[in-house]
Amino acid sequence: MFEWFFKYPRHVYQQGELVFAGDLGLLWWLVAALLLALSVAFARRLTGWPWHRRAAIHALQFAAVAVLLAILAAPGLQVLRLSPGVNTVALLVDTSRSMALPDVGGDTSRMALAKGLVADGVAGQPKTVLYGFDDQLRPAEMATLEPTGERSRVVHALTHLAANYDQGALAAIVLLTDGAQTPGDADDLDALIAAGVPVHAVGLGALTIVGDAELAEVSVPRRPPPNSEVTARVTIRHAWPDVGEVKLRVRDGESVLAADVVALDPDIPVVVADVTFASGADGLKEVTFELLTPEDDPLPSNDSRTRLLEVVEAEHRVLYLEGEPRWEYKFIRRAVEEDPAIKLVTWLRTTPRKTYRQGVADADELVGGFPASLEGLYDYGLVILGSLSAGTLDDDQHAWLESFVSERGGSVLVLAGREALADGGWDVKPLSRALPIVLERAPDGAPSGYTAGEYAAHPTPAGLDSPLADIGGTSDSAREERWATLPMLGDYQRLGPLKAGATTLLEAQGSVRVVPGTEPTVIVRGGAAVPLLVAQPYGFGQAVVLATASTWRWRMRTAPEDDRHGLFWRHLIRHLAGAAPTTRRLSLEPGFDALDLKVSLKDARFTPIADASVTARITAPTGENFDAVLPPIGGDGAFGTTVATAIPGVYRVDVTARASGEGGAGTTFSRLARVGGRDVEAFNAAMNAPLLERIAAATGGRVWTPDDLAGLEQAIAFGGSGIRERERMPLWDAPILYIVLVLLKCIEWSLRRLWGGI
Amino acid sequence: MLAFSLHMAKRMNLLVDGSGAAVAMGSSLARSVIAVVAATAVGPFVAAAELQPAHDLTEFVPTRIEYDSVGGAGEAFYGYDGRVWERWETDFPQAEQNFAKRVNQLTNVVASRQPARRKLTAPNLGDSPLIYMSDVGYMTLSGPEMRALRQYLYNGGFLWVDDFWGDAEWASFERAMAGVLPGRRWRVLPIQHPIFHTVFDIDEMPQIPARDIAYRADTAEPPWVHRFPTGSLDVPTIRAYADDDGRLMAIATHNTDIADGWERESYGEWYFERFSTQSYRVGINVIVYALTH
Repeated sequence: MFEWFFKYPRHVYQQGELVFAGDLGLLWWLVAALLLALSVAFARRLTGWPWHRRAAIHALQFAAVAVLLAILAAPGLQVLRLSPGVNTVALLVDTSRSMALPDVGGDTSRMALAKGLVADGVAGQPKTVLYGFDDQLRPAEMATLEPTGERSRVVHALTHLAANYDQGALAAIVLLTDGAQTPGDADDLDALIAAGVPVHAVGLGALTIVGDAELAEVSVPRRPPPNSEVTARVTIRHAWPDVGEVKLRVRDGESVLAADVVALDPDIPVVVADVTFASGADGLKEVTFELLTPEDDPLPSNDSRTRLLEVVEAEHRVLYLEGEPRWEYKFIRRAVEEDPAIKLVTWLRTTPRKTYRQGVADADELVGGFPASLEGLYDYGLVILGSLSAGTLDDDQHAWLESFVSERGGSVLVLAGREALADGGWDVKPLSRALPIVLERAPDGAPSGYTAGEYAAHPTPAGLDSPLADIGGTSDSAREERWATLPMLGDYQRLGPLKAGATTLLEAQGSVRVVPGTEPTVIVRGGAAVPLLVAQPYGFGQAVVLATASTWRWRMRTAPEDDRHGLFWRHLIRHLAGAAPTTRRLSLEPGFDALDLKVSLKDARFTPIADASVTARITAPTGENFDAVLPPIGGDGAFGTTVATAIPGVYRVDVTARASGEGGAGTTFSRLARVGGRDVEAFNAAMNAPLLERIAAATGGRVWTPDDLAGLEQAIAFGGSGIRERERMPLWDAPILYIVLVLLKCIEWSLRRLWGGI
Repeated sequence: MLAFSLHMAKRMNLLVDGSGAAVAMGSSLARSVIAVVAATAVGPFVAAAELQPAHDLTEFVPTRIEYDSVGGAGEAFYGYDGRVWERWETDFPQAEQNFAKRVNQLTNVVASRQPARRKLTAPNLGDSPLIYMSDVGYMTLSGPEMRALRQYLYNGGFLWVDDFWGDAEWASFERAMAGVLPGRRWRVLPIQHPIFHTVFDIDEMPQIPARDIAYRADTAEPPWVHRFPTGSLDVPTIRAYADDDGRLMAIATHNTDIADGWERESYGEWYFERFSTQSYRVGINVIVYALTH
């Protein structure tokens, strides 16, 4: 439509500059003078009219004269256009497996459509060069274009082509793809933008594959303890046209571990659900999560995913220091006793002179009330501080606590209480630096920051997704419902301002009932929320503050089979304690055909061991193995290397590390990793329009559809980056000018008829 | 009938007030000797209990359970110190008030000086993870009470039953509790059990008698003041229900009246030293056990 009115496409106007013939000439001036004279003569006929009517008629007349004079001035667009026959346009065809999927309508495959477009000269340019890409970019011919690639790296291919093309002037790239980018591709477009080659993307395939349900993601703890409950969070992306249900099944080989039903609603295209299954005995497990979709599922290959579980007997050591026997202490202990992986050691001051220890390994553990050495403290992964006065610890112990978080990477969880936080004098201790809130001590004579009162705990959006505030629920709405129906809490400790890195996971929300016999205490006014559970990373570790000590009410005021209190504490403690690093760490980063090995070595005081010999034995899926030496990388006790992994499957890596001067065989630790072997192309298989839009917008190109490519030739011609020449394109015969002229005169005539001037 | 009952109760209480001998006989003895027919007078207590406000959840709040008892005068209720007492309110609230005061003095537990009282079916029973019942020899529990107590105990609540003596009272109590936790058996806790050592090391379970016979060398109460047949009253024990993990859910201090040692601490210096100190040691150990297991 634009082109019909204005003679040229919009992008020609965007690129071009408006120019006139240059010398307006005698004829132009004569016509201008004549028109002016006629106008003056005509004005006399309107002397009896009110001034505003005359002004309207004159304005219309002058506008018409201006259009006429503009046409006479021979207007044109000065543009830069590709020099014919000099430039090359690259046709880049996606050859990954997803291109074998049907295009819109389902009559033909995406690849067949792409080939047809190439054969029809999609770019409209005489010089084109054909490339195919999936994992790598390569020159191609029509006959070699087959959708066989195991993944597609769109940005990688474009950048490589645009930056390295040396066969002449590259005017543009026409990208024929579904845009289904697979993991491992680059996200950064800077290099592509710097190459200056516009990318015109022809999007193939439908935006949604109607009827498909895809297991988009599965998140599951990698190293669960034996015979424990494992909760996996699965994300289902679907395009079901009607409301329905899909079965979700978890199996280990042929053994079904769990099954559930997930409701799918067309209005909610992405559904998150939790499924719980038993970890079983020790050992390596490849667990399959699968959707049992109807037989007419258009893409059944994206219905399942596998996850590697290393079921090992782990022990999360937790130290809980409490200064006041109280119900929160009892019920935390009871909740944790359900989890064999959590080793909770508690030290409780029962009287000013007596203490009570539980969970200690022997009579000597914590006999002094606090670990006797820094190494002893670092043996724990989490320290919980209850209602314990800061004065209970000496200066060295306070310094140790701070370094426990910052240097060792441990977690600290502070509970509310009469002697907690600023009320207990912690505001002037080193640990206050690690906490996610600013500790503010109440002025002398002011009431304590710890008070009684009822309110509801409510998760923030961050809390709903965090394992630190997980009380179960298979969907966001179910999780919110589980929180909403918990009994109210009964105490609150006023927190200071949140620090910049703090994240609020739970909020105290709702009105507070005044407790008879106490000072009226209003914690939350009018339903406004205040932080209840706040976390922040600090150094290598993290610190969390829970502004209540009455979660025991969630246990005592619900039915016995309601395990939300236990889930909350087990998840919170397990996650915080499990996040603490060990002295020997092995991380494996599987690539497409390679495996990155990184080892971190520290001593019992978590000081990096720089001088050590580190070797790895890599066992391939076939059972064959080979050794690799891991040299130091960047100091700080880090060692690493990359090994090639030609065969897809599960690799086992056994690392032996021996510090300099250390006798014996050293320390051995192992991990497993899956390399390749997954049909990643079956996932995210719908046309990825946002990616194509982003690429085109960043490079100066456009996104096109296969059935509307009419402007592509001109878009390349006027927007290319190759060798260009200047051209003047006349505009005097643009229809819009004459339409405006006629329109102006029609309006003038109509007004004069209306006002009686004719 | 109600008016008559109350009139009779008041008359009998006046008799007790006027009789120093009766007072000197002690609570258990007196409650058996002095009886009134005023069973219908318990109504107002029920209504008051249901209106009981929530307490401060930041504190340990001693909580007394109101229950019904079978029988008439000398069984379900008794007269003493100038008024009619139901079995459930024996020693209440003075015992709890004194106990809270000593707990605050001796331990880091923050205890409320205002004890609460609840029926087992109270919706806010769970706000008291430790509940105390006294003088349960004639106790009867309704179906809803049994269900509520069962849920309470399975949730982690802790029940302490005190001040009942002899075989018949034990059997009555055991029958009532059998409906709460069917199939679970009471066992006598050995002196090595942690509950005897949480704060104080107790090497012998103390027998605390009613005040009126505390002066005697023999601390066992006489058989005729308790439900027949009493059997031996000589040996005080802690009997307990344990959960599947071995944690105690309910304990019964049998053939002893621990709370009387709290209530009567001002009876005399000799009484305080001989009985109250032992009562407080047991009481503190029990609540610290309940607060830690």
